[in-house]
Amino acid sequence: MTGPPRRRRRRPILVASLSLSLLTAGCFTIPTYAPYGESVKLLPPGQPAQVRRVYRTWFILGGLFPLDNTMPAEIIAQEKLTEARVIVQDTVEDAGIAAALTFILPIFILPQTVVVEGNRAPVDSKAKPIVADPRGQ
Amino acid sequence: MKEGGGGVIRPWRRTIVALGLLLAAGCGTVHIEVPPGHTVTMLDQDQPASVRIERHVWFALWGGEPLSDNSTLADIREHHLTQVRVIVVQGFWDTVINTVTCYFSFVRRTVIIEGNPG
Repeated sequence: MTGPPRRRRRRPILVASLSLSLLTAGCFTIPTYAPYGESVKLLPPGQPAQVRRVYRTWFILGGLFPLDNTMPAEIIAQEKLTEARVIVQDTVEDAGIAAALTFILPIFILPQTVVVEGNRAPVDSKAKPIVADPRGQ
Repeated sequence: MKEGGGGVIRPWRRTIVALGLLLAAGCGTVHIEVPPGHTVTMLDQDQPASVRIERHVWFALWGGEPLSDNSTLADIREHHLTQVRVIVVQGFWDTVINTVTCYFSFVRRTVIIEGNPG
């Protein structure tokens, strides 16, 4: 007699847990492209890089909307890089933050760690001038 | 959060939910780089690309160990690309699949490489 009602009671918990897992895992997109009007070469692994920026980009509602929308192109433009490589990481800290924030406040905030490494244009008379970002940044 | 009986969820169940969320979140790293000796420039957001490669990258141990190639090196070399842009996506189907496979430590991502051969 106790079997079926208990199973019925557990079903919503199972559905809720799966939904929570789905939203915590989330969907997101991190595109890597050059800033408008700039020529940026991709760096091979192992080649030295003078600039290294590690940052987190944030998404809300399971990744449906970017919170800060800081993508590698923005960092490349800020740092005036002419050579770059990008590492998109989902670190243990990111997973911990997503799980903890979802557990405390279920608005499904997802962080992603992005590493941008690169070099600026060589500072000499032959160096090409850096083209201004048409978006004014 | 309350159970059907009206009581507060027991602490061990909260812990299981928290651990479940942590496993579901998963990890994983994708390297966007070129093979040594190749000169490849990045395309901007709107420039046309004639080649589009879309593949899934699988990880074991919740992202700790890549099971498939998690770098763009081979794709750029195979397709002789001289211009690329790369999009790392955790799409809807990745998420649905991860929701099940993450409990066995496997997670996946989608990498899209768009570019033009030289």
